[in-house]
Amino acid sequence: MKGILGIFKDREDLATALKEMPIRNYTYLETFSPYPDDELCNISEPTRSPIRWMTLLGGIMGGICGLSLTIWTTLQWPLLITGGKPLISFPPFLIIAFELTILLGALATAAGFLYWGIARRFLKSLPYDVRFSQGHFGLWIECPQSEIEKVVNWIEKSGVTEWKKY
Amino acid sequence: MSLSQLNPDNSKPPGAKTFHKVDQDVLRTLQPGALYFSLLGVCLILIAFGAWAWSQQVRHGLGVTGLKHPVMWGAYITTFVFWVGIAHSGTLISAILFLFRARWRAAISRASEAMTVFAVMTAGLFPIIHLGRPWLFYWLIPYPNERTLWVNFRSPLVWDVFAVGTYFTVSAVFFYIGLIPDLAVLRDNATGWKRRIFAITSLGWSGTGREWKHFSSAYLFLAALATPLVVSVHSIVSWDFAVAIIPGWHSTIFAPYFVAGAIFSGLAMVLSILIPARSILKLEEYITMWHLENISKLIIVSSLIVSYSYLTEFFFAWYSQNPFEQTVFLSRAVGDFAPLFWLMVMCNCLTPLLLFFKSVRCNTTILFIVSILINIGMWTERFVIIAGSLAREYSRASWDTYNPSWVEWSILLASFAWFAFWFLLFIRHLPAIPLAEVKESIHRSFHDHLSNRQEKNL
Repeated sequence: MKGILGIFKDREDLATALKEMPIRNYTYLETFSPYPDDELCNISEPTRSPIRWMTLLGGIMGGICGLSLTIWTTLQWPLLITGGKPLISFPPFLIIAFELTILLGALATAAGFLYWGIARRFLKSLPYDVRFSQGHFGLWIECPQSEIEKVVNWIEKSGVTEWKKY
Repeated sequence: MSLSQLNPDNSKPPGAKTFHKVDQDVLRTLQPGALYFSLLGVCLILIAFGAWAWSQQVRHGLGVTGLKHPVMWGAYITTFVFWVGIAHSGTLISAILFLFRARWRAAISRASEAMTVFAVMTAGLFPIIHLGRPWLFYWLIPYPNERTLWVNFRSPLVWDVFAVGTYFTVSAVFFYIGLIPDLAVLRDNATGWKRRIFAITSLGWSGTGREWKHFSSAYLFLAALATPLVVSVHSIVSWDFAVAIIPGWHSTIFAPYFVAGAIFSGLAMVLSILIPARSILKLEEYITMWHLENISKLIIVSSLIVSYSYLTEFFFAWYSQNPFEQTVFLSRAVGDFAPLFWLMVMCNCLTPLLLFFKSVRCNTTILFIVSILINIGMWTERFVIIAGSLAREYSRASWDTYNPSWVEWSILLASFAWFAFWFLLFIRHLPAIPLAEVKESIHRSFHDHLSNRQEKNL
C-alpha cells in the first residue's frame, strides 16, 4: 500500500481539491465523510450500487416461497372443511406471499449491504482517522511510488488540514 | 465561506451547528442521572408485577381474566392492536417521510424507529399471553413435524404471525442498518471494552464513499419495502376482525380505518415520548417546536380520517338496514359501552381539534396532555370495537358485558413498563438522534443558505 491520506476540515476544500485534481496514475481513490455526500461518493464509486438487484431477487424469491409454501402444505394436508372456498385459496395465500416478498426482499437488501458495503472493504486495507466520523473529510490516493512526490506537491496546495504518507 | 463560519440561525431546525457540537450534545445524553435509574427501577418493578400476574394466569387458567362467553377477546387483543398501531408512526416518520424527502424528520427518525421495534416487541407478547397454553405458541409457525401437520393459511391468525414477524424483522434490520454510522461515532469516542463492543457492532464502518453509496441504496430500498409493509400489517390486523361475521366487525372499511387509527395513535405516542425526552436529555435545539408542530399537523389529518371512519361506520349500520349491525352501534352509543364510546369520541375526535390553534401546538404541556388523551382514546376505541361487538352478538340470549380483571390490568400496565424499559435502555446506550442524518441536514441547510445569499446578491 503506497499512498497519501489527506484530512480536510471543510468539505468545500475537499470538493474544490477534487475538481482541480490532475489526472494521474492513481490505482485507487477513496473519500471519507461523516455523512452521505453524493458528490464525494461518486468519486469513490461512480457506478450505481448493485444492491437494488439483491432487493429485486430477494423479493421475487420471497413471493415464490410464499406461494409454494402455502400451496404445497395445503396439498400435503388437504383440509376439506374450507367453508366453500377452494383448497388452493389464492386471496389468503397472496397475503402470506406478500409478507414473504417484503421479508426476503429486506433480508436480501441487508445481505447486499453487508457484502458490498461492509465485507468487501475488508479485502482492501485502507488507513483511517477517527476524525472522519466526527466531522472531518478525507481523501485516500493510492498510486505507484514514482507518483508519490507529485501527489504530495499537489495535496499540499489543495487546502488540506493535514496529510499522511503510507 | 465555510460551515464553521456560518452564524447559528435558530429559526431553521436543526440550526447551523458544528458537527463537533452535534456529537458533543448527543453523546452527553448517554450519561445517565439519578432520574434515569429511578425510572428504570419503576419499570422493572411493574414488569415483575405483570409477570407475576401472568404466572397466576398460567397456573390457574384464563378463568382469572374477565374473559367469558361471548367476549372471548378482550383487553389482551385490544392491547395487541394498540401496540401494533403505536409501531406504525415510527415507520411513517422513518420510512414514508424519508421517501417523501421530508427533511424535518431527520432529528426524530431514530427515536421513532426505536419506538417501532419496541412497540412490535410489546405487541407480539399479547397473542401469546392470550393463549390458554402459551408454551405451545410455536404451533402457529409452519415447521416440518412428524405428524406432517401444517397451519391453516386461510386463518387470519396465521396471517398475523407472518405480518407481525415480518414487521419486527424488517423494522429491526432498518433500525440497525441506520445505526451503523452512528455506532462508528460512538466507537471513535469510546475507550476500553465499550470501544471494542462498538467496533464490533459498527462492523468496521469508516465512512468511505463506497460504504455511503451502498448504505444510502440499502436504506432507500428498506424504506421502500417498509412502506407497503406498514400498510399491510395493520390491514391484516384489521382483517382479524373484518373477515369474521360478527356485527360491528364485518366491514370493508376496516383496513384503511385501522391504518389511519394506527398512525394517529402512533404519532400521539411519539409526542408523549419526545416531549419529556427532549426536556430531560436537553435536546431542545434538535427536537424543536417546529418538529412538534409538524407532528401535531399530522395528528390533525389522521384524527379527521379516524372521525370520518366513525361516522361512516354508523352510516353503514343505518343504511344497511341490518338489525344486528344497528343493535351493535346503538349499544355503543347509548348502551353498556356508551361511557367508553363517548370517551373515545372526546379523545380522538374533539381533543385533536385543539391542535388547529398554533398556541396549543406551541405549548408543550398542553401538547403532552393531548397526546396522552389520544393514547387513552385509541386504546378505548379498540376496546369498544372488540369487546363491544362481541358482547352484542346475534342472539340476545348470549349478550353479556365484559370487565377486565386485575390480571389483565396488571399485564396492560406492565406492557407500558416493558416498552419504557427498552426505550430507556436505548436512550442510555445509543444516540437518540441520528448523528449522520443531522450532519447531512446541517450541510444541506448551509448550502441552501449560501444559495439564498447568492440569489439576493444577484
